Amino acid sequence: MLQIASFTKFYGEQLALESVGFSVQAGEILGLIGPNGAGKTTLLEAIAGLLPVDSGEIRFHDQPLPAHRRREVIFYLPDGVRPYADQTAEQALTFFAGVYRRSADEVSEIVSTVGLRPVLAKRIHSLSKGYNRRLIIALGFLTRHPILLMDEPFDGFDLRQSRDMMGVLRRVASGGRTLLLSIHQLRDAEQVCDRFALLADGRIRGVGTLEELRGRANRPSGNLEDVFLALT
Amino acid sequence: MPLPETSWARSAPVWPLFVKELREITGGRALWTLLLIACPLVGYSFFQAMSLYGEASAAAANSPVLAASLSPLDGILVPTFGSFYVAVTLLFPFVAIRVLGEEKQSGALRLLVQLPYRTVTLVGVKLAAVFFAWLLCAIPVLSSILAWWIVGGHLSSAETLTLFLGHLLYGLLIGAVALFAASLTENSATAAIVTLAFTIGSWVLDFTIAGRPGWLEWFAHLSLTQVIRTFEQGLLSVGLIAGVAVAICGFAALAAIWLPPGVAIGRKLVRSALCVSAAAAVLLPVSQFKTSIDVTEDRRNSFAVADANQLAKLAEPLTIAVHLAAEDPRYIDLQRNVLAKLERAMPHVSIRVATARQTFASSAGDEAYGEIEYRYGARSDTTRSTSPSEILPLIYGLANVSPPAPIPSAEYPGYPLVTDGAFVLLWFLAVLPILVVLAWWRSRRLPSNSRTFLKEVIMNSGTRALLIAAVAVVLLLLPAIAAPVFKVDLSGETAGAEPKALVPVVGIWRIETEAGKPVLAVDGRQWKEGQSSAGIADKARALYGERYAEFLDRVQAYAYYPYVVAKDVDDFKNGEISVRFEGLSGRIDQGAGILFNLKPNGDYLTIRANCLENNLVLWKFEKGKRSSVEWVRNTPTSSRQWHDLKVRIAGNKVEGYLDGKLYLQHTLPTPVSGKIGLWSKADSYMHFDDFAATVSE
Repeated sequence: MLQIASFTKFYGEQLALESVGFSVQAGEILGLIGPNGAGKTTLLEAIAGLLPVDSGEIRFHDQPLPAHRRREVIFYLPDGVRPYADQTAEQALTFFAGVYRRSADEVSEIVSTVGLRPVLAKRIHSLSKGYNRRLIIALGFLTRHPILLMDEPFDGFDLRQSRDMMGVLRRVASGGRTLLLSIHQLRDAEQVCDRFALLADGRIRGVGTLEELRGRANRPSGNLEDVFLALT
Repeated sequence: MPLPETSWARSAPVWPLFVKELREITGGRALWTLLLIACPLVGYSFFQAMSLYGEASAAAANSPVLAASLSPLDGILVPTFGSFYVAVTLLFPFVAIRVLGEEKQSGALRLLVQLPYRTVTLVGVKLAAVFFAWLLCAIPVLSSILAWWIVGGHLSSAETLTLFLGHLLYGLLIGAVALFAASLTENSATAAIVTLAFTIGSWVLDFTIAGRPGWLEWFAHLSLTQVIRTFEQGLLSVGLIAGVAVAICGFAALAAIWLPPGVAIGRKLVRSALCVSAAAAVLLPVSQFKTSIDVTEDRRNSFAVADANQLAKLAEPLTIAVHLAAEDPRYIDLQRNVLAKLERAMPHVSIRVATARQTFASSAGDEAYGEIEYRYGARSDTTRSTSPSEILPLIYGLANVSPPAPIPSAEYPGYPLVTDGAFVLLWFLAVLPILVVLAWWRSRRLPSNSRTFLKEVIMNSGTRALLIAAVAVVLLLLPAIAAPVFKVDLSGETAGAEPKALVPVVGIWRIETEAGKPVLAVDGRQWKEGQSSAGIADKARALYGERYAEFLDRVQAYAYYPYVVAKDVDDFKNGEISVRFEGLSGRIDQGAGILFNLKPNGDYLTIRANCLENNLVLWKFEKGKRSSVEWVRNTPTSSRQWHDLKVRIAGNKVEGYLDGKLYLQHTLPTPVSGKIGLWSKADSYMHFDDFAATVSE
């Protein structure tokens, strides 16, 4: 469905991404796995067309997808964003619902799904980190893009909340949307992702299901953490 | 395979985006702080302007010449808008920057640019929000116009709207610059510094090097302050408006270029260079576009009509070489009184300041200094005069044409007004700031829990309250601007004295009281036919200025019917004139009439009711001779009762109403045009009240 090929990005002299390439299948959850500083956020922003790259190409259904057209297909939910801080969560949702012509029922369902209802009337600057994360995810669900990129979607959640949100993401993926998640918590990634792209020092070290990566890393019973350490 | 169905991306509604921008701009402190600062700033300027205008008006009470120099544009509007200009220059950038700066700082910009809008749409909507914010910020200055109108001050719709347009364009320009700065920089503080460097730098530029010779003068023209100055002079310059519009669009386009984070810097620089080049390519021809409309009532930017017509016919180029330093007061006089008007009147005028590099101080010893050479065709002449009365005949001489015969036109009467402005301070220092604080407080209130989701009110209640206030101010102002109203207020008049608001020409007119309320009385009981009012010569001069003599002759020759004239209504052509009257006594007559179409030669028309005859008559007076035009009988008009009399005029159509009922309709051979007043007859002893006129365009 989506092929990323030879993405290279320099920040001045520093190489941030080196010929990164992988593909994403329709309806799957692909985990972009890597430690802090591996280049996950840079890669997601480059895929979304929000960061110019020095070289590389994206194809969508085998058609070139130039940067200025990415927003027709891909929506990126950045990490560390607290948008429209002086407005209420309800107002932010209303804004996105208006833009994407979502009905009241659709919005209500999304609000229930992500568990935002208790804080709808609160200003965004007063939301906890977890509720702010739910709000960002809800905004993403209100869009109509077939591919959602999420940067650290479980950051700010406790164990139970993370489990709940994983279930939500699985339901969304089973509904036909493709999710590309950047996750540094390998245990979370192992539970929610169908496939993984392992990124370290700006380079892809392996792409595949956990079974495929185990085989490549020669760790038949290893978990994702073992596999990642073996391959990077 | 094509991209998935993305029709939603092409037809995303703009309204939610606009509402979001409004919430952003009203959610911050900057807007409310500006409003709170603007209230006393504008209010005190307005109060001071009213005080000074009142003092000048008091001094002009017995001097028509001094009164004619009193223009509300110069005396009230420009100083009041001037303080608003200061607030906009210093504080409005902080309001405008917020619509983009907050999103950049919070990271929300990365969400915004992914929404299904073109970047131009995003910037356009933000600029629309800035326009809305400017309108809210303009509430203090709009309320000052309303206050001026309420106290009976004169407002010229053309002058007021032109000045308003100038400040609106200036505000939008500041907003566009602020948007560009916010798109260029990483945070709001830096954007504010960039914008203030632009606005204050431009301000400093204006008062430090304006009037200097050479390239400094050209450089001073780039100052943003220059944008407003032309509008303050009452000039609607097509070239200037187009130029500012291009500049606004240019800065907005630059903001759109620098907004998207996914574009390489090099590409943005190239696009910016193209944008600046395109704007310059448009600005260059636009700046050559000299057409402008003089919207001032006193035609201060134009020669007399006859001269303007004659000059427009001079097809050959007129070249003027000025041997004066730019800062020389004579040059400033010449520029204002002659050169600027010539450029507007003649098709081909070129002006060369021959001593452009010379300063006033360095001109000593130059014998040619002070000379102005005029060359038309092959002929030339030199003068040192800066007065149009000497220069125009010189130009006619060079062109070999006769000076034109003057075309009679109404003199600018001036609009003196003495009023107590204390209530204004109460409004601007207490009431309006409290309203602003209340609106701010309401805007900070969280939405009610009782509301259901997606039934949220489009805008927060504070914005709505202020918006309603703004709309109310505009609605109240509209009739003031669009339909000038003349109304005689007798509350400040002295019983027993002649009315101040009206000029008695024939008969005995004085203020009396009825049920404790001042009314206007005409008392024919002691009046002798043929007797004009006391001090008629001065009154005639007050009404018709230098052309009073003919009017005075006619009045003195044919003073058969008492009448008063409204001095503040110069030329009534279309609209309604109304008055209430009561017949008290009179054995020959108890007549009450509305006088209109009063000409400088003393001719006029009147529609009058009569309590003794129960009829309504349209009379015509020419050379003192009265003749009936239309006569309607059986119009019940009892004595000792108040009645409503109204005349409606539309061109040459006249309608007469008594007590709200249309009785009389007539079509005159020529359209109505002239002063208005009240009329009576013989021994009538009548009371009048609520004399008012509404002008319709």
